[in-house]
Amino acid sequence: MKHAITYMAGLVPAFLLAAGLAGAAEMTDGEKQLYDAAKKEGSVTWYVSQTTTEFADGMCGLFKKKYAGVECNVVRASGQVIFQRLVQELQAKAIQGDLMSTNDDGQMAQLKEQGALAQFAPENLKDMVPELRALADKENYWITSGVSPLVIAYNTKLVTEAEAPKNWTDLADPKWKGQVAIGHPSFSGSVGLWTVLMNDLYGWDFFKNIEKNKPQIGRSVADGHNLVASGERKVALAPLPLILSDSILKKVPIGVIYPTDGALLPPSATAILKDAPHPNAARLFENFLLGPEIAEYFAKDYRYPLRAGVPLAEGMRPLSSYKTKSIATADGIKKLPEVQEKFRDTFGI
Amino acid sequence: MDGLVLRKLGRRFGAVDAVLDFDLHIRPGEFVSLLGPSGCGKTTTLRMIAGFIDPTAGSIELDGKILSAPSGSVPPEKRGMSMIFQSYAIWPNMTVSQNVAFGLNLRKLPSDEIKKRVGAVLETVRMSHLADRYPAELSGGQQQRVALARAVVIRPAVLLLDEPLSNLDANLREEMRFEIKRMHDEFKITSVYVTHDQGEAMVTSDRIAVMNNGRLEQIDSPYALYSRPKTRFVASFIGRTNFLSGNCGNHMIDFAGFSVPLALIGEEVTGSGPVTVSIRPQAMKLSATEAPKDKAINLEGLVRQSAFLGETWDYVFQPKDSGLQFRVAAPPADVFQVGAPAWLQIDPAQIVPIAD
Amino acid sequence: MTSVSHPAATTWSEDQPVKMRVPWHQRLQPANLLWLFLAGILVVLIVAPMWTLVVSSFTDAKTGGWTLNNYVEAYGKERHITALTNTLKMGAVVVVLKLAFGVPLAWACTRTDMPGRNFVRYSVFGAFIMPPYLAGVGWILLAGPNTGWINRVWHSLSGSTEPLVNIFSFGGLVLVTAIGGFFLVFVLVSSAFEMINSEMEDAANILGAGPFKTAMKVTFPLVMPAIIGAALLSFLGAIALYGVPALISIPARYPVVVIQLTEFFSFPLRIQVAAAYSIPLLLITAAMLGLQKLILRRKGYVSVSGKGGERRIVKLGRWRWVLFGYCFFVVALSVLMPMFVLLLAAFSDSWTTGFSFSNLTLSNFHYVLFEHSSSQKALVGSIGLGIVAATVAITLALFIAYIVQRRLIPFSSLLAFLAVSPYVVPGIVLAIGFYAAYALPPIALYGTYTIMALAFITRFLPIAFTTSSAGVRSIHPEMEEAVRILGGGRVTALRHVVGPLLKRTLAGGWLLIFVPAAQELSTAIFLVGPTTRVVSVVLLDLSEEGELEKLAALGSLLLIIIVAVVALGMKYLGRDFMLRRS
Repeated sequence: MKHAITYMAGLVPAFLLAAGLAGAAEMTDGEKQLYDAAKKEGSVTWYVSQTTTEFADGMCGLFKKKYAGVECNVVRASGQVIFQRLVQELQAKAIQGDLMSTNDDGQMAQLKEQGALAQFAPENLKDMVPELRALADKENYWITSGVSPLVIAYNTKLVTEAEAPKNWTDLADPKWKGQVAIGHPSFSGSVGLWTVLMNDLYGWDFFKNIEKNKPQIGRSVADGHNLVASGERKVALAPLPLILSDSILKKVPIGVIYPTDGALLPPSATAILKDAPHPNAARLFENFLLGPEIAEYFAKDYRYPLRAGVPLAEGMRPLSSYKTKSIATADGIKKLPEVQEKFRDTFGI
Repeated sequence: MDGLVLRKLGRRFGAVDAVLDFDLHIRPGEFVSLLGPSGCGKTTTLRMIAGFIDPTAGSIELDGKILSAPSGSVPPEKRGMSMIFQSYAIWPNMTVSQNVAFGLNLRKLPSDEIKKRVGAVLETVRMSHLADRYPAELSGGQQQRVALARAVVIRPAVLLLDEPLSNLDANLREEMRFEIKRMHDEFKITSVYVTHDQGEAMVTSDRIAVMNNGRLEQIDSPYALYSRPKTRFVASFIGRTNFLSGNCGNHMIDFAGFSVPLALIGEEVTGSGPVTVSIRPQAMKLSATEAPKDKAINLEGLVRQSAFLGETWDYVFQPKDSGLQFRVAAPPADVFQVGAPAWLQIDPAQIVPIAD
Repeated sequence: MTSVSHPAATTWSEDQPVKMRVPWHQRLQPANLLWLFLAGILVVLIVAPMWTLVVSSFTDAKTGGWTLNNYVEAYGKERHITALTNTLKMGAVVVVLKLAFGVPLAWACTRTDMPGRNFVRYSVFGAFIMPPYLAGVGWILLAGPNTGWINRVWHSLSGSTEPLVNIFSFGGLVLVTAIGGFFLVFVLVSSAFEMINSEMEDAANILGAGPFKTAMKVTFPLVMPAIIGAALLSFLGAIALYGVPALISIPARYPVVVIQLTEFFSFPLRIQVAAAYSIPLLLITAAMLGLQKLILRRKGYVSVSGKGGERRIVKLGRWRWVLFGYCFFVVALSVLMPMFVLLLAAFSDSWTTGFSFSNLTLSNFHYVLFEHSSSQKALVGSIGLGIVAATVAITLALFIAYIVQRRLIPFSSLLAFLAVSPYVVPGIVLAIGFYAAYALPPIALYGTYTIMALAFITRFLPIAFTTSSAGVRSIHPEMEEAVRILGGGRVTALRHVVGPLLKRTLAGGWLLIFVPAAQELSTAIFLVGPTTRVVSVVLLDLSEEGELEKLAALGSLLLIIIVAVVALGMKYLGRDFMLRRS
């Protein structure tokens, strides 16, 4: 079995290349039209906080390979930073990004309300995993572009599986004093939702207890796994795919805890901006995000593929096999400012 | 009118008149010095001629055209003049020949013509062998020659010199005085020379304008200035002198202890009342015995002080029963002890009445 | 009454010459137009952004009317005031540290026979080349509480699990801020030491003062103005720095003003509140300048100036090694240690595993050079902005310094005041002013290199002006008058004489601007657009993702390019151009 996986992994690039070539040959009419229009526009600029820079760059690379002649620019920052940038652009009436991907769909709802988003239903929607498709906007102002459950990461060299925390409240155990890392809800979108979830589940005392362990507070949600991997912290709040790829691909001593009280499942959302300078390229890109190439790419990097029928990577558990929790979009928008403020008060930053 | 004309020229800085009511006519080819103590307005005047300072009154004209007036001035670069600065202002980023060629380049002369003229003028100032040197590699005197060459090579309408020798040591200064004179004799450029050193002015100038407190005191040839100063300031600034107060009347001037008939005095004096005269130390002679009575005035008295200056003796002589004291110059051979009795002869033709 | 009749003096002054009118275009020389143009540029660069900042702090975001609400919102929360007091506290401690680092080193390098003076000089110079946020990353690698190298050595030596040092603390914050800026103290105080004539010290000696007493009573009081000036600049630099607090003060839970400002710049965007919040920073700096003037005047200090005269070196005897020990300690803290770990991390797969050959890799460089989406462009952008900012600022400053020194127009001293005024404007505040004035419509420069270049030029104009002004002052006006009297205009004089003569000074100033401009973060952070990112911002993003090895690689690349440019400059200018007074 293991051999088969390695074999398969070796095949993936070749397969992708073939898929790319084949894809060009087998473009649907709608796709072809978008491609031609996108070529005239020349490029697409993608604001992304959904993934790391490295991963987003890889997606852009695949896009450029498939749609030669359309440049792809990645602008990656943490969720709130990207959002703030976009708000700045809206105010300046100088929209530079074409589409945006975030882990906080509440931002999308606010942008939609401001009339800043364009409606678009990509062709590939029909092949999506139905549960994931259902998380998106009903009026097609945004699509679901991924799910990265927030779980607990622990350093397998410093912590045995038995010692490791089992659920979120275990993070407040005094044995983790000086050994916990979390993100900041005012910088990271998904940490914002996580803060809302924890407050909903346990009240604000949860954070007061965590504070006793003096957690290291980062800005992005993406640095927690690095802190655990390096051993700087023993346990951290982290997105599942980053932990899995670290542990399986990079052989880093890091392990996953699926908290028994429920991993946070923030649906990542991607939307096209109404005043996008390259609207057709943006549509082409959004459709591409739901296409087979990205599904493979996601699966390979321990993410949940968006297309139905694409197998999970070895070592990944199906979403249905562990407890997950989500925050309703409206709830998130309503509660976020309050928990951000409380967070700043409790943690003093 | 041809030449450089300064007409009722004035310049005020705040409440101070640096130059006031200055009238001067410099003929074409003439070499005129502005001489005076520091702060007398001579440099301000020169810089007004150059166009670096605008006058607040009067005008400057060249060959009948107004260059400067309070209403507006032709900028320095349009005047066709050149200047030698106190600091030489040789551009250290250019070689000697580049420095000299600069003005010619600005005049867009053909390059072979420039080369020829630069070569010729460097020859004249004896700097040909250093043409490719940078100024930092030159001595003070050599820099001065470059400044001279750079200024004359464009054949300026007027050459202005702002204390060009004040940064040189004594020997070199002596040499350069004659160099400047020689260049003027060769090129006959109308020149205005600012200095506080009467020796320099005398060697170089056709005429010297003595300035004091922003005003022109007197303009004359060097000899006339020395021998016939018109004001107390000029008399004391050019060389040394003795001032005597007297009273004029009845065709005589009466001084304390002696009188001189007006007829014997060089100047024509009219009217009557108090008068001041200047008598140069060289206009008098000391002797041990009374000289034969002729036109000269003879006074008996004592030698009060003496100092030997090498080329002359400098004595202070006090006539008998008088508060007057005279400074007298005497040749080295005329030796008198302090306190010794002596006779003083004064040449009346060299007694010069002056305006106080 | 006696009158002396003279030969008739002159009769010629009665003739009236032909009037030659000076045509208007001769008075309105191109040079004069240029001066007007420059004044206009200064308004664009300085007056307009600062004015907009002040105005928008009193403007209601919704109605556009006059309001004080922005101030209420900015200071209505205890947390916001805490950030301000924290900043002042941090600034004060940083000043003390910078002086403790800079002054003894300056004295040791200029006035003593300490061994290794050149080594110390070069190392301090390294502190100038290394941007503070890279030093910060180096120190995170060194003193991260659990895996920092220092702590791991400590853990293995002592068996303790508690960290020996923790960079994520107030102490860590001030240390990293101080090592990033004591270079300035060193330079300013060094040149003051070099100005002191030994005769002044001899005068104290001859009256019976020993070496220590002389140093305390004569030498240090004489360099006091320089120390006070350096302290002021250190304070301004410390409170306005963005990178180090972003790296350290968030994990250290020590909120400061710049971090609070980013909150106002996040959703909902409140530029007016940000403006209101930054006004006190401006007032504080203005007050400090006033204080400086007051101190210097009351004590009757005359700034040390003029020729240095003979300077003798203090013989330290055995103490020279003690002093060298201290100097080495300071440069190790500030340069050697962070630079070493940074380079090591850049070549490591994982910095935590420490040094081993299996851990060595070039993949980080490969990643930032060829794979990362924006770092390649950001390198070009940073270097390009550095070049543009340095070139434009120096050119502009040269013209302004020239006007001011030669008093070509009335109120020229106002131009000088304007040109140096950005000195007291913290970079981040300047960025807010530029954002408010130029980012939004109708000018709409958001996301362009132009707005960043303008802000950078403004930020570094004071350095450019100070350098150019000293240069112009050193050129005798007669050098230009010689050009003019020979027929060249002012512009000819500038091009053929002033420019060439100032080449070295200007090139030195150019480098002094290029180095910080290519690294500038505080001004860039609010002005970068998606396609106009600079290295400093990319580095910050990498730090956010915890990619310290890749960050180290990109940071090293930036350093290598900067060092190459500086090396070229040194070759051209001679080695000492920044460490000694010219």
